[in-house]
Amino acid sequence: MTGVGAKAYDPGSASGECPVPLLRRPGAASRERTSELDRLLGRVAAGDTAAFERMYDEVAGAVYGLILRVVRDAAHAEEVAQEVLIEVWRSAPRYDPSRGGAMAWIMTMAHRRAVDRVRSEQAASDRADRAGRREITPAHDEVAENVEKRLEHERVRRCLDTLTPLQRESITLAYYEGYSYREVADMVATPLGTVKTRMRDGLIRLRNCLGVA
Amino acid sequence: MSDDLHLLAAAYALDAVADEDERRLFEAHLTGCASCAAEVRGFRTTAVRLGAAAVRTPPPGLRERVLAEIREVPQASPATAGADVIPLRSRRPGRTRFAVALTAACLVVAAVSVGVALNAQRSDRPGPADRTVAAVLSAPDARTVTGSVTSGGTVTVVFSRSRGRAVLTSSGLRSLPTEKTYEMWLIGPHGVRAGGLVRPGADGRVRTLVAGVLADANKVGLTVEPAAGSRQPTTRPIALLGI
Repeated sequence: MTGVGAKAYDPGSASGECPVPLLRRPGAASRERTSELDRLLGRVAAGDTAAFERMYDEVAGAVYGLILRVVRDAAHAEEVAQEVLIEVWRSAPRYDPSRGGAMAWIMTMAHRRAVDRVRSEQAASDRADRAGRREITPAHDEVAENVEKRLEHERVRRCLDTLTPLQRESITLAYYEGYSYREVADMVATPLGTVKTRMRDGLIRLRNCLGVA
Repeated sequence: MSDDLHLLAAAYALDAVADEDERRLFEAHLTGCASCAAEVRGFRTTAVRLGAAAVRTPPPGLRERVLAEIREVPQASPATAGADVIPLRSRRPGRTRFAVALTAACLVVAAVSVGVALNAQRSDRPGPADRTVAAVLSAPDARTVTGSVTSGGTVTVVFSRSRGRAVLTSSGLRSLPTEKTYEMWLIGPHGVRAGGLVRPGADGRVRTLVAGVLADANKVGLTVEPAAGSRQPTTRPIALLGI
């Protein structure tokens, strides 16, 4: 039985109000930027290198930041980010806009590559070491990003704060550290079903808090 | 105990399903479950927000190197069937890359062209049996249970009461001498029925997915039998999973 997880699952509070009203309305500006990104990717698909440059400026910070967060090592992160961005160029003609938007496509690719890197290339001791210094929320970039990115960062941090500590732990270990759900279950000595449930309940809560359709 | 296959949606969207077989089983399930696919999309979009919040200023040399390299890299031709192409592991040194390609090829053979062994009948091309497997994997009530095999390896059973079948897959099964085979059993209050022969490849994964008739079974077992299979188990089970 998935006892603990089943108890933790509370659809009422999962769909409940977020602490800050702003959180339920993703800004119109970010939606515009998304469609702008889709338009750029369409031009990239046609081999437009100038469009690729503009797209680079839009996404490179998020791509590099996420990869750095997962692989932890700046040199490795740079290498993986380069691979991903070149892969974006290479496979842009295969991008299907009906499947969730350009940003999701690019970031999913970045995340998979980063996870792939930590799973295949880092020694077990290295991973254990990383586990020792896990952080819950994304680190702040000292170099000033634009205001909208800061707001988004703050929004995500606040939404992460609405999760139970156990939900937050399983989601961050998986997404930001690249651990599989089986590894997470081992690390926190919890049954597999419970970990799967925590991840699901936590993501539902996050999804609602962030106003994802 | 078995878990609802849907429960994997979040772990899948977080790229936290590391086992390739498990991932493929879930992807097969997604093709037939529109609500699961929609849930995965929402979870992915949520994960992307987590990812984008980790934004950092990229190292200064990266832009120039990327822009220089794309001028040398040809673009792919558009995918024929609108496939969601998210390539993994494309830059490995030769040997690893080959091994990965080989593993992927084996899995594709297992999961896609599914030459299914139904009661020891093997076929090389997709037939009714393949459709049976696909129907189980994509069933809305598909559930999954994994257990270890005493002689080594694990087996995973995906079963659907509505489809009345159980599909068994494995990893790390030890290879047997040619005169022996693994056989799947469906065990219920009214007896034990043969589910099909399970033949692992050199990597211990089943080459052909077996879809046994579920009926009133509440356990799935695995035994070692003579190569032709048995009508009833002749040895002690090396795996026994409650379903």
